[in-house]
Amino acid sequence: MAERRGRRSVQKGEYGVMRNSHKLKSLSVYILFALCFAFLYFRLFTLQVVRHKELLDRGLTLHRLNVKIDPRRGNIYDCEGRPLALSVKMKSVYAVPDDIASPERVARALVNCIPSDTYEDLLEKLSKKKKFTWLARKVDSRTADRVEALSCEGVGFREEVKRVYPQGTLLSHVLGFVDIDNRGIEGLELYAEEYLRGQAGWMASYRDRKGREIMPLRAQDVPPIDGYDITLTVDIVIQNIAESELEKGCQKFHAAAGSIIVLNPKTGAVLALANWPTYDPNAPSDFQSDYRRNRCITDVYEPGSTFKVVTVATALDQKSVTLGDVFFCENGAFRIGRHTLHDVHPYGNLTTTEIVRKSSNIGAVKIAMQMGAEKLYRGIERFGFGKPTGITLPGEVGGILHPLKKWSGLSIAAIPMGQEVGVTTLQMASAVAAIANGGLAMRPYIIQAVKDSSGRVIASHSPSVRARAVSEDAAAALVTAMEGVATREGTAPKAALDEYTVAGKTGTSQKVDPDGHYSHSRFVGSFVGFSPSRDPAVVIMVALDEPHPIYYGGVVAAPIFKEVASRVLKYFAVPPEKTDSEIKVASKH
Amino acid sequence: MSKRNRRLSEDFSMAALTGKWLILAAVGVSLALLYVWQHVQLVRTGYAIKNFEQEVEKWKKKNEALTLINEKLKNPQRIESVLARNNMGLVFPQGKNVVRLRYPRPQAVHDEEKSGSEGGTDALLSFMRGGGGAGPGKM
Repeated sequence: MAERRGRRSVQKGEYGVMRNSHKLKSLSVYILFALCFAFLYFRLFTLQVVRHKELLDRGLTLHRLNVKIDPRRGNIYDCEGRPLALSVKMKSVYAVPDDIASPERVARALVNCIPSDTYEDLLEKLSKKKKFTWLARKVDSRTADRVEALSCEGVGFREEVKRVYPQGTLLSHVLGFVDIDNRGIEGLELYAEEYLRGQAGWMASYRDRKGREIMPLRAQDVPPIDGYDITLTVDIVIQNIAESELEKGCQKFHAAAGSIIVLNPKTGAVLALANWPTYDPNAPSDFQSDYRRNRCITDVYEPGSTFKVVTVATALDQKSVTLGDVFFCENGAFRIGRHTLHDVHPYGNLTTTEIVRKSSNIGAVKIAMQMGAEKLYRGIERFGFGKPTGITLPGEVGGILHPLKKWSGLSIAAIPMGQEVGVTTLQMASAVAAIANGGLAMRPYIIQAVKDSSGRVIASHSPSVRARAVSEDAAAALVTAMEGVATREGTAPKAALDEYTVAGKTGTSQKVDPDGHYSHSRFVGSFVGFSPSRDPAVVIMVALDEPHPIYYGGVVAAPIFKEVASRVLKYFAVPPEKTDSEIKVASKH
Repeated sequence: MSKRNRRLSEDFSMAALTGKWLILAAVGVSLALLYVWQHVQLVRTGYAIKNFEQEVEKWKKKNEALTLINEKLKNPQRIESVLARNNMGLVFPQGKNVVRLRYPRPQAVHDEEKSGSEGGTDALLSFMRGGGGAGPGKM
């Protein structure tokens, strides 16, 4: 019994020791875990509380994706929907100079791929202490592929939108161009910037470690609003005809510059508008700034004899004269005060019709004197001279028309034949379009419609009457007189068309020298006319600046009118007015 | 109830409770897994959509480039100077070379389309089918 009791006490003692040992071990493990958890909690506290802001910022920088989505700049189309200005996505090459160990090696590799830069240019860009520098912007796909194939360190690509003009130099003065950031600088690109630009969108999301967007985490997505498309009244085929013939004419007669406008007289729609010299809006900086000027609306010149149509139309409208009235043209020299007015050829008695046909200065002045200065002034105003036509192009000037009270005693002898007044080519074309349209002056316009990207019309332009310049009868009578200009007896037989009737007027005006006197060597030769004369499809105004040695409008500008009118009327499929036999007879003469 | 039976009963109710908890845990885990799977699928679908968007963008760019080339090739200036004159020796037709077809001129077709009236291409097609309607071209 005692033995059993003694064994029990020994067992109890061993059990106690063992129990203590277990407790110790448990405690150790517990303490170890507690320490681990304490460390983890400490770390968690450090990360979540102490370094919260810093780590949050770092995480957001790495994973947050805020993207500005550029809108598509609106396209510009001609009246038949042919694109004149498009926006296409292109790659731009950039470098992170800080990441480039050997700028020389990278520059050597890139110089063969980026033709616009020399080795020195590239090396300078790559050696900058900068985090970002452009190497070449908006490069073509071939260049981009070649650069991409090099896999240069620190060289990357960014997609940008480039404005391109697929028609090249055609209509460049109307279209204008944009800067590197696609902001309109000239022409319609500038004028319609608000319509064309659109509104940028943006997107806020997160990206994974490969840089891919995690779409379910996309927080905000505001799509861009694309710019509106613009449809013009210009027909690129007619524009090409006008530009090619103008260029030929300017080169043939060694003109310093030239302008041409083709209008639809019934609506006022501009079918073509061109200037020479011209430029390529795809590379505007390659051309002189002078070449980029839209002379048709910005340059003012004295119209010379073309202005006689305004004088005679007003006189006919005011019933001051009739076509049959006879005026003595002083045999070529007419003294007014201390000045003597001359005609190119001396004439005796001429009817109003003959005055227009032969372009007699003295005759035109006598018609104006018979009518009176005030009536003449009001007539000129009704034709829209002295103020801009309101065409939707930037930089249009209003020309020069002095108020009646500022007219001198000689003004009545100068203005009727196109001196002392300044006009733009567009104003002159618009005035003659009014005569072609039965006296109704239409407002010239070039934007036909503005549409959104889905093709919905936002705004459209319909023909609008600006004013009644002259009565229908006066316009019809003047057309009869103007029909004589493009004949053997008139001043512009070279404007006559084989198959169609032509009404027009020549003009040869002296330019003013810097000393304020009329030049004897610098002229503007012009011709404005329409065809078919009784139901006109087009009004064409041609002006050559400083042609030489020949400078008469009937010689330098009329042939351009003829070529353009002939081709445009065929393009419009206007049925010929003359039969084959009539054409043969005319050609024999 | 005997002492043994009571213990058995307690064991049974304990096991039932444990079973319920296990089922609940299993359902919870399943739901959690379902949520994670759904989320993963969502992310994957997002990637797929993005890939498709990039693909569409790529083809759009290709289309833009081709449109541009097409328009440059159709430039009347280029056709006139390069093809018509230099390469093929073509000249502009003179009066008697022009054969006029009796259908509306292009501008008239365009005007009719603009005004939204019955006309334009429809009028041209109707005329070509012999339906009349459109008269000879006149400005």
